[in-house]
Amino acid sequence: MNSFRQPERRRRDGRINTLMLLAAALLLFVLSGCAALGAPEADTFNKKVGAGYVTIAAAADIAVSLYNAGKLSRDEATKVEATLNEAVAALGMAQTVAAGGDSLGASQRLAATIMVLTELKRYLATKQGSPT
Amino acid sequence: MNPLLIDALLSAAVRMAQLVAIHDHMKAEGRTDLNAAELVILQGEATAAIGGLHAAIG
Repeated sequence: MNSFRQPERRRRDGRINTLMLLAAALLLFVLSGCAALGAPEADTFNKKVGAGYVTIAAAADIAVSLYNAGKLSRDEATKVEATLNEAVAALGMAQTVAAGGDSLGASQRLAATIMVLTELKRYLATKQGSPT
Repeated sequence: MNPLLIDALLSAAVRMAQLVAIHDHMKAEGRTDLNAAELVILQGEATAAIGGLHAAIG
């Protein structure tokens, strides 16, 4: 009986794996700046800050999906939330520093925030394929 | 198909569409950079998304 179901299960698993791969690819695409499809290339300070906010929003969306799917524990999701809140605050601080005329300081804060978001992106990507 | 993964795909597509819409608005006004108001909108979207995560965690 089970042997009759195996091909169907394999096909279903294959579809889910394909979908997960597609989701991971789209996440990578969104978090990478979307330049390939004509979305804005982050070539100015404000565009980089804007891309940072979009990255934060996309990461939060993905974290919700991962949490609901049981691939992110409550503790992990809480840490992701805290990191995202800190990233929003850091981007706001970078804007304030830039408005004050310290472009170097603003760029350094922005670069540090982008580095944190890049690491968070990698972390969420690893969670897409692993149970908690 | 896993509806949660479809959610993730749709969310990513919506974020991308928001970014493209703001970029198009910027170009329509003949600007080459985002202004403060557009950054406030994007910041609000990020904050709302984090709020969604907070609500999901409970």
